[in-house]
Amino acid sequence: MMELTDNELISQYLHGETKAFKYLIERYSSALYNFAVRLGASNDAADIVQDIFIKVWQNLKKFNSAKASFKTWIYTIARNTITDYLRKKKPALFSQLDSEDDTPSFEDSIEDTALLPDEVLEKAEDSAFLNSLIGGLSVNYRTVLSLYYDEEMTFDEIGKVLGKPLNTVKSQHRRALLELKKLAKSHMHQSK
Amino acid sequence: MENRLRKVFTQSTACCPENLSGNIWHVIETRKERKDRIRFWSFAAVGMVSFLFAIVTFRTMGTSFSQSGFFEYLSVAFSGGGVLASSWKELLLSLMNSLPFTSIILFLVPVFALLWSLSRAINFTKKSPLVLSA
Repeated sequence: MMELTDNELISQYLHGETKAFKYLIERYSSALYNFAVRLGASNDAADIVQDIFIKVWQNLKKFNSAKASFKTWIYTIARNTITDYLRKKKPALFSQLDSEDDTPSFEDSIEDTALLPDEVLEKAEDSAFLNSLIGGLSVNYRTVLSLYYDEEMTFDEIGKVLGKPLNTVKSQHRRALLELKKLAKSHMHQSK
Repeated sequence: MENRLRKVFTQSTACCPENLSGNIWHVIETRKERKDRIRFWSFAAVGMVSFLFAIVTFRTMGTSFSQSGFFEYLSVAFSGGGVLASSWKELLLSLMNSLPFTSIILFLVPVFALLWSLSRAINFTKKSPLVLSA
């Protein structure tokens, strides 16, 4: 059953094959756990993943495969659940999420061939270093980077998850990398 | 750069706690059982109430039938003697007029509710037999 597509598993579950949902949990739990950790909910990531699956289970009948893929749908639920959690946890810090300007700036339109130079990438291969850098980014930037690099989603899919236009997502991705570069440089300067 | 960054991200993936998916599945199964049990007993309660209403409305319907003269018209129809052949239209009209529609509807509503709740309750016991356990 594991080789079935998400939509096939959902269809089987809705037709009474309850075990099909278990396979969906197995398929997505570790990725969602990682996503929750990336977004800054490392202490309660397991509980958050559980909440996400309960919401998915409760709303599975509402899922419409014509509108979006299951992956996009589940990550939308995940993102909202994690956002709620972070908002409850750190209301002051989280206000930055709403204040970020979504319009692409002039800086975004300039071609930059080395958003993250080799020097930074080499250092970032140390996962502790990368995680500390990501931890310094805003939740929006962390979400875009995690969905793009961890989950290998396209910008279009990320746009659907975040409910934002394609260009905004591209712009946020670019800004996130610039921010990452800035943070990496300051970290490296500090350590010298 | 993109591939390298992707590799860097993949390498720093957080370790998932052991048996996370198993625990989540267990929680969902427990919730499902509880939800099914609540729904089963709700349908059973609706069934029992409908059954009581059906008994009361059945009695009322019986009284209404006897008071409306329906049975008299019916006995005329089966009495023979050519009444049915000669004036079947009038007889049919009288039978229709004497039917206690309100009582019949009041009786049929709980009967349908009873049948519907019974079928749902039986479906639940078939789908998840655990609903009947404590």
